[in-house]
Amino acid sequence: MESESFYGVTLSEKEPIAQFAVPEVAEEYLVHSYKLIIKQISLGPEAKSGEFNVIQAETQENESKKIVKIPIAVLKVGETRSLRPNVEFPNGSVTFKLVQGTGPVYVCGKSEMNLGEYEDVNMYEEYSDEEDESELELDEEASPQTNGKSNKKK
Amino acid sequence: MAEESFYGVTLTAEENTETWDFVDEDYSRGQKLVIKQVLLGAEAKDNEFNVVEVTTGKDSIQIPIAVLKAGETRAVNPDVEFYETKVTFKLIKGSGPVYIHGQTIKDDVEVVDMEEEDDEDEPEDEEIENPKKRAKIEQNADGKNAKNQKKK
Repeated sequence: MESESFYGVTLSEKEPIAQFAVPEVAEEYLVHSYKLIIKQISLGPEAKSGEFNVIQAETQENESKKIVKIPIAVLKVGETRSLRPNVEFPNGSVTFKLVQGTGPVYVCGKSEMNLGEYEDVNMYEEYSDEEDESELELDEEASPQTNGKSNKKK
Repeated sequence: MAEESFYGVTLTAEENTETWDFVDEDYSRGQKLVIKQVLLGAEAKDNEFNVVEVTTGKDSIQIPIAVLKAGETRAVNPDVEFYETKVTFKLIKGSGPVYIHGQTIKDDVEVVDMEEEDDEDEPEDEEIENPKKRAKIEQNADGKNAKNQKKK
């Protein structure tokens, strides 16, 4: 099951930091994977002229476990009002920081989640057990379970 | 489930080259690097062209993927992909700094011999990646569903 959500934060001199971490889900679900996609970063109309506004992203590389701190947007009144990075941050927390300038800067995107129901794991294991196939009915119409009861009919 | 990771590197006059190379493992596993944005730093000099060139290992293609200039083009969004090939980024013009952003994606597929029996169990955590495999798994699923229907 997939779930997505709009992501939008404002960074300014007063609030220069925004953090994105593992999304919270209801108890009966397991988060298989998730990612944050930053689609657009724009500079507010009140931004000061002649000033660079730099947004930095800090995250961890999943493979090497290295921490990466790198600017993902450089905006300036009269030169660059907005950028469309379209960068993705999979399965990790990210911190955005206005490291230069006073903003305001608007960071927009979306978070996507791949969820599994807690019971899914057990159901799938039963399905691939060839001996008990006759006792199993995979009812495609069944509504998601939330009360812990098994679908298996005997 | 594919393994994905954020990719971010910086090129400057002093460190003008960066290489991405995929890890060679026991079984074949598709690895891809996608470049989403190339951005010029705030400290870059005005009116100086900053050019990032890419060189691929597999086909030996050498070509700029970003031409940036303070006051003209602050960032570009190539959205180019490099699949199963070594890639080298080089700042061939300008002093930067230039930031390269993207992600690496590793397929989580095991290469299966297509001549195998239909009855064999598929590993549970296998992602359905290529069309041939998808067809094979759908075939199996139909077979099993048919069996279940009969026994009802």
